[in-house]
Amino acid sequence: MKMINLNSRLARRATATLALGLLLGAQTAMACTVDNWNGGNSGNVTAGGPNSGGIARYAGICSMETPSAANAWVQDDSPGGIDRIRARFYVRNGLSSGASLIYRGFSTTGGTGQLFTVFLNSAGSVTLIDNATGTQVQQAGNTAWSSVEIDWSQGAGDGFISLSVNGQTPAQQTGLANAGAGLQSVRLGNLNSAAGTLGFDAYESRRTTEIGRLCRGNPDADGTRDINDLQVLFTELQTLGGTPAPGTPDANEDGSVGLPDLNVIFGFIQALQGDCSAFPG
Amino acid sequence: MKIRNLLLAGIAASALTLQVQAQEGSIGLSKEAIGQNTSVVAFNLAMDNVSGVQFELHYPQGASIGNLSSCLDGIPDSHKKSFTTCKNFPEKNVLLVVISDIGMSRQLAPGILGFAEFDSGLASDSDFRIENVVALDTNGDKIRGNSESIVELQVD
Repeated sequence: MKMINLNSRLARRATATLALGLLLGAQTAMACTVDNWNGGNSGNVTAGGPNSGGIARYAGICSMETPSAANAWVQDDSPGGIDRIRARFYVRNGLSSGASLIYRGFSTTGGTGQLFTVFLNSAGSVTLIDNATGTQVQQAGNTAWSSVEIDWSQGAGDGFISLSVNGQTPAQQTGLANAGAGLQSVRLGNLNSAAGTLGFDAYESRRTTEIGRLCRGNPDADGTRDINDLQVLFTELQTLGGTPAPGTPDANEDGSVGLPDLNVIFGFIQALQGDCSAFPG
Repeated sequence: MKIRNLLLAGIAASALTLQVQAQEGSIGLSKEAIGQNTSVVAFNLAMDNVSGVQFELHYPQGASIGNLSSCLDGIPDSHKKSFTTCKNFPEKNVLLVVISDIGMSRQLAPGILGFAEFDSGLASDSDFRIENVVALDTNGDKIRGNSESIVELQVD
């Protein structure tokens, strides 16, 4: 699975590419943790999964949850001064009202020098703001799981921002004069103590290349939806989460894994839409 | 096995009844009389300890399925539940067959799972091919290895 890689977060930096694939590697019998976020965490963020605290996840066996009305986040200090970042994560919207600041980039590692900000409101709308210029883009999302992918770039008149929620065609603003100090860190969580719990999963970031959504309804994580996915999902249900699916079982993205997800996956199969690359969902 | 011979062997008046030893004893397949321009394709499960199987039958352009009523006639009632289907996609020349027993994983006995009757005069194995075979064993685990040999076609 790809998910917020809470215990084996990989930060791969190459000359042109920063890959923060928060991929959970050996997940079996492993406690979920946020310890590998190298910038630390604050505010009682909780890592867990179906067999660890019963925390809903989108993919794999771990995810992260922030408590209601608390300033809680994890921080990544890997960017190291870059002028562009693409990031994708899944957020489970449990806001009871208002809006939460869920992702922010900084020009320092101390939580100062805001460069960009992502807001989520209780209705599911997601907004990306370039803080230097105040330019923003917005897209509608869900009140349960939504995928959020942003692309933020600095430039002296050629900066831009881009936002895609749930795989929609990106909303973009280009020609921004937002040059300045580079991106040193990012924080993910509930950064403004909004009311309601939030879940996060499948965080990944890069320098330039698109990340995209995970395959929806692929519990066995093999890239194809078939009867084995039905079986793997059912096994998770039958064991009350004791044998969690390694892939993406929450096919209807409602925040819980159950029988309706079996029907959604069977719907993909019945429509000859088993191939995740052709039909990511 | 010559499917047409089997079918013709049971002709009574204008209809024909075929008794096929399948999953749970003898089952009756009632079909209209089979014309010489019709090809009958049988899906044969060729492996033991299989609890579920999914595959696509790709057939040539120009062929059309005339009768699917026997597509799942060879499977036991235990497998005729929510996650079992036989569905034709004529625009793609694909017949999708999904047979499962999610949650129970009871065995499908090897043998004929069902039939599809094509209107045109296709009668060669090479006119048809099986793709994307996925099978589960009686532990509910995915069967690895040469999945293409799990289901065989018999064309007449």
